[in-house]
Amino acid sequence: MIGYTTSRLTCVTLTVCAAGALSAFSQTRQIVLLYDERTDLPGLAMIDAGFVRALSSGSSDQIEIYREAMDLSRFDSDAYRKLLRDYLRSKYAAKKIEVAVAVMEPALDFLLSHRDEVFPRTPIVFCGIDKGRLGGRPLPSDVTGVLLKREFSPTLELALSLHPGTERIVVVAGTSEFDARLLAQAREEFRPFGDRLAFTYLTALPLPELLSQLSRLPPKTIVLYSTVFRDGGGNPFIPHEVAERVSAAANAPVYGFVDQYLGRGIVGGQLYGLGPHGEAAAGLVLQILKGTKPSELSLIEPASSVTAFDWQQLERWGIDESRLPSGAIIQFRPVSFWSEYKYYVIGGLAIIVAQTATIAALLLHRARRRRAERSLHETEARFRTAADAAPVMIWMSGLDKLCTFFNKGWLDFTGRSLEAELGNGWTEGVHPDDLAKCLKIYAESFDARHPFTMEYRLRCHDREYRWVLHHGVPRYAAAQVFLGYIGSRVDLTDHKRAEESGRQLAHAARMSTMGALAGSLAHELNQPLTAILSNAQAGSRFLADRTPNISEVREALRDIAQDTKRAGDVIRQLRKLIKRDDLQFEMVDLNQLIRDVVRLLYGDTVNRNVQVVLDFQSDVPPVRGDMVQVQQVLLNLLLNAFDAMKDVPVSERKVCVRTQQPRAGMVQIEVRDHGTGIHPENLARIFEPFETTKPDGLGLGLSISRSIVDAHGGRLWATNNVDQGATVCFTLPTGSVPPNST
Amino acid sequence: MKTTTTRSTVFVVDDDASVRKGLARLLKSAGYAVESFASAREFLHHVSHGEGTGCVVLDVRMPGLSGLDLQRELKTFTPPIPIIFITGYGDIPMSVRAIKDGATDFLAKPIHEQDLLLAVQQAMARNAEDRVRYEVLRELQQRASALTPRELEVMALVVRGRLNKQVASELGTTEKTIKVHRARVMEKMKVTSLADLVVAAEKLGILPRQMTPPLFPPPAAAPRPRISDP
Repeated sequence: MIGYTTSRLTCVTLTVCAAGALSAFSQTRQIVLLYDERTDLPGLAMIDAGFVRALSSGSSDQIEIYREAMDLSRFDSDAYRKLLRDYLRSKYAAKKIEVAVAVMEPALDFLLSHRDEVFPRTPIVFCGIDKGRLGGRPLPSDVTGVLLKREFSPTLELALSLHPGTERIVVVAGTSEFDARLLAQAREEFRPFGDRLAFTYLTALPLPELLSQLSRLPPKTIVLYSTVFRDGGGNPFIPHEVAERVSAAANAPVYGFVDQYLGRGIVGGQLYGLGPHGEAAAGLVLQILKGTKPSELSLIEPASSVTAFDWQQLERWGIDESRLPSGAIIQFRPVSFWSEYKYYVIGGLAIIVAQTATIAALLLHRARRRRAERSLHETEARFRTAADAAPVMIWMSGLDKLCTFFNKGWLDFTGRSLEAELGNGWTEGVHPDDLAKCLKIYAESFDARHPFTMEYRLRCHDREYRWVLHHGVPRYAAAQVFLGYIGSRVDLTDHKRAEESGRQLAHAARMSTMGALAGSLAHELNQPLTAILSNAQAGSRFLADRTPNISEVREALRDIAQDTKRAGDVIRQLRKLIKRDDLQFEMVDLNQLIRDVVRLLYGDTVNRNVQVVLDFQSDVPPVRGDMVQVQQVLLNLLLNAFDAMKDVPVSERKVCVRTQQPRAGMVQIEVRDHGTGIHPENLARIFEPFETTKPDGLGLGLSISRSIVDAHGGRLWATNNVDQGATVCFTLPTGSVPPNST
Repeated sequence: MKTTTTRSTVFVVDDDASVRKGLARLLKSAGYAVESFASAREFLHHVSHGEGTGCVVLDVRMPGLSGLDLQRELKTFTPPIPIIFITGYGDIPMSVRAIKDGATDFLAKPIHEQDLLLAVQQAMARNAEDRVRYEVLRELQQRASALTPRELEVMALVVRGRLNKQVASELGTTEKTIKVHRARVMEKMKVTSLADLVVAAEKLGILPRQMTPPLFPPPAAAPRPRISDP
């Protein structure tokens, strides 16, 4: 006790010194608090806390508080009390204590007994004393205080209401004087209940046995716990600890009376609290310090009881919350984390949310970027796939004219690797004769950002040179951002071959037309030849006469010359027709040309018994055209006209060739036959290639004629005559010759 | 025999002027009389029945009337004028047909003088022969037309080798009468032997069908005797 008190004294002294230092200018009031027990008992601690709180906030003065814990229940002898009296007297002799506060009845008793010695003429404020306990005891005038109302029956009634059908009440209390006092009050209060309930008072048992008894209670029992400062075995206890153990051991709900036991095992009850008690006491003290006479202060009775329950015990005993009286406080709910740490939780959540949002945003961003990258890859892959699948060769270059990409088709065609072709490597395959022109076109177009096309010979995978068409266009990212070039290259060989085939085909068609002419031409040649031969032979004969008829010879020779020339003309015509074409435009006299062609066909006209009538506009201007090709057209049309009249009676076989100038700049030629006509459906179709009604015909004549006429800038068409047969017309432009060749 | 007043001429028909001239010159240089025509129709117009003597050098293919058509026409002539066809085309089928139809020859241009002159010579000769034969026949026909029907009957049987009395019994008359008819026939026909009469009868086509067919169709002018064949 000494050590304990010493340490406390040390604390207090220090406080005093500090307070003294601090309160140099303000007066320090001094009071003493006398506790009947040790101050660490929860109830007392609560009073103390309330007291100090109210005291310090209610006064501007510095108030020095001395505490004395008399520990009366543990030291219960008169000898001790005497010692204590002396001790206190010595201790506080030099102090000017203005108010002495007695907490709890034992302290008040002590103080009232020994006040003259310890704190003479010091007003006393008490608290924590039951009104009933004061009873009729007269109080000196300078004693005032706060009364505590302890009640026991309300709790019992409460318990009974919650546990209907209860038959037995077990009351647990200790053996200390305090315990006994309280118990006595309880008993009094419980007396009316005695007729319907069986009361058992467990006070005399040592704690272990008490606990074991409590664990074997019969059903329909309620336990009421008062206080146990000392058990039946004489051992001192802290009442609330006992409450815990009692509650743990009991097999029936334990109700209590003190708020400090809630949470320590009691289910609940009409509980009185001690915190407000201390505050009220402090209020009285403050008033006295201010100068109010204690006698003027009446005793205070704060209402300090509450109906409260322990949620966990409610759960334990299965007591439904809804049955509790309204206004009842339920404590010790499993503290929702939320209510306890609301702001922490909110803050924490906010941080988590913020973090999550940030993470989500970053992930999203990353996902988007990944998607963009993937899409870009896909686009590139798609491009590459498309490029490689394309039948043409594809190339790309960067900003510096160096090539950066070739597709599979390109590499396959050249038979080289990508590395070999990149940059300027692709130029290695260009034919040396074409290389300079190729590079020039590429460089110039590139610098001007123009699209370009060029043809050159390229060495391909089989080491052969082939003609290729190389094409490129500039490419841009945004509007003006130049990225380089992209383009294609195709093998022209087939194209050129096709062109060649086209020419060959045209030639073949002409040859077949020629074939048709063969008979005529042979005949045409044969006539002058026959004449030449006859004349020559005649001349010889004449000369062999005794008197040669020189004039006959002379005439014969003259005729020979003429006929030779005629034969020469035929040969020339023939040669022109055989010659392969490149269009050579010149100014052509159409009428003469037609006459020549008709003469060429003379044999045919005889053969087929056809009469050809020429109806020329005499002043027809010359046309710009390739003579050979125009002749070919006329040949074709005339032969067709002849064929058309195959089945027509001889007397009606008439073909009329007409020239006219319908308007300026154009000459029109008509070949009109008297044949079977053209079926209206076929009027357009006959100009298509391989369209023929002749069993041995190629069907190319009209289509070639049409392309010839088109190339001349004219038009070729067919109509049926009103009377009989068909007319095929074509136009040719007049005008000067531009030295143009297609 | 009646001789024609017209001289044997070679007729050249070809629509090509050069050829015409050349051939004509050649034939002239060989000594023939030549007349040229540009078309078949022209030629026919010039030559009427019986006035054409000589031969024709004819181009097969010509505008208007073709050579073959002309050939048909010319066959009706008496005597018919021989034809030498010439052509600028190598017409084999046509040439075969022409030959079958009686052309003398078929020559392809350019024409060699030997071929032409030989053909012309042959044609002229043939024409001359034909002319002679036709003269002979006409003479005979004239004579035969002087026969009475009875005399014709007698002649028909006699040239078959019937004895006079056989003829008499067939015709239902006496041998004597037959002898008289027979003498009259011989006289009118101007023959002196039975053999000659038979030859004349044969030429006239009086002989029965079993024997050689007549070389020439019987003249249209002479009435065709009805001969009942045994």
